[in-house]
Amino acid sequence: MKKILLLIIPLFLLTTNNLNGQGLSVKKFGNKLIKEDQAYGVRIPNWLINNAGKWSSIDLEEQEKEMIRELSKDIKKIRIIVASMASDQVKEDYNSLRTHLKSQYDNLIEARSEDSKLDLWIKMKNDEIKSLFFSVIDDDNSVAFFDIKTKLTMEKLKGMNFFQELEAL
Amino acid sequence: MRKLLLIGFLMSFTLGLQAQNDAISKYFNQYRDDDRFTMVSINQKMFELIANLTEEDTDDEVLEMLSELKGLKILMTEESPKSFYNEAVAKINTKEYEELMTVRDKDQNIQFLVKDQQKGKIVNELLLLVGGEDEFVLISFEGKIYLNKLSKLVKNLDIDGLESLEHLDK
Repeated sequence: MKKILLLIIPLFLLTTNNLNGQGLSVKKFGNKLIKEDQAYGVRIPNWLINNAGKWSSIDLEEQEKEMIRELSKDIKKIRIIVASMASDQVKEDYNSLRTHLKSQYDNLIEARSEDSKLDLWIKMKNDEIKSLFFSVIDDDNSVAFFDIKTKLTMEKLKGMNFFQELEAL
Repeated sequence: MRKLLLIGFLMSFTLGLQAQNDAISKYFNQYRDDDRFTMVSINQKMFELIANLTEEDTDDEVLEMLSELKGLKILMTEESPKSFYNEAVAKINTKEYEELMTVRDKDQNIQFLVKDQQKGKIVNELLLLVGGEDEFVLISFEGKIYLNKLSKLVKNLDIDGLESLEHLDK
């Protein structure tokens, strides 16, 4: 029994280390993508999201304002990058990113239509949504990337007024 | 030694289960990146989240079914639909499946196939093939599927391409 454990434990540790080291992380992929010629990016920190929640633009419907107010408390940061006609390296990086996502995230939805591919991934710890990653990549290497870090729990989301109103529709 | 044999047996059992889905997975993977097709794949985690976030007064069986769905795969094309339909029928080993229902009219064929039927109410896989003049659609539902609740669930999910499953109501 001891021999089996001695064999299994190092094997398990090796596998876990390999999985963590596999592929490009979301952060690294974003850092590479933003260096493309026609790439634009924005990082929205928590304090700005919170303030946006308080300001809640006058043009929005009451339900949308409520949604922003409630969600903004639990969103830690958002990073958005849009790159058009990026280099071919992006596709390689994207595949590497997918390898990383497969080991760290759960894939929720994958869709493809004509020349666009959409991916939605989630990283959860127990009931808490730690991270949401959404990407759209076109055959001409145009990429849109949204990385959202949150501390939102499923229970909180379920209890939010805007969510209950949405469900009632 | 006995433990190692047990581990080996469990591993081969898991591999065996994976092989059952090979025909559909292979066909799906063959065209998932093909520009002519629209592809949608919704994974187990998504269904778990939907089940978690769904209203508490929702039908218990619908909730249970949502949380036990392992995946939904859709392939659709409007290019040479008849030839893709024939290819799918030929490639997918339809002997593995029990035919649940076939709807045939002059424009299209709709085949509902199920696997591992339990008393006619619950299936582990539902495969839908639609082939006609206008489009070819392949839909594969995996998980614990209550046939009598499926059409209700499909109406709630409101996903393009799943309309054919509402035939199960009839």
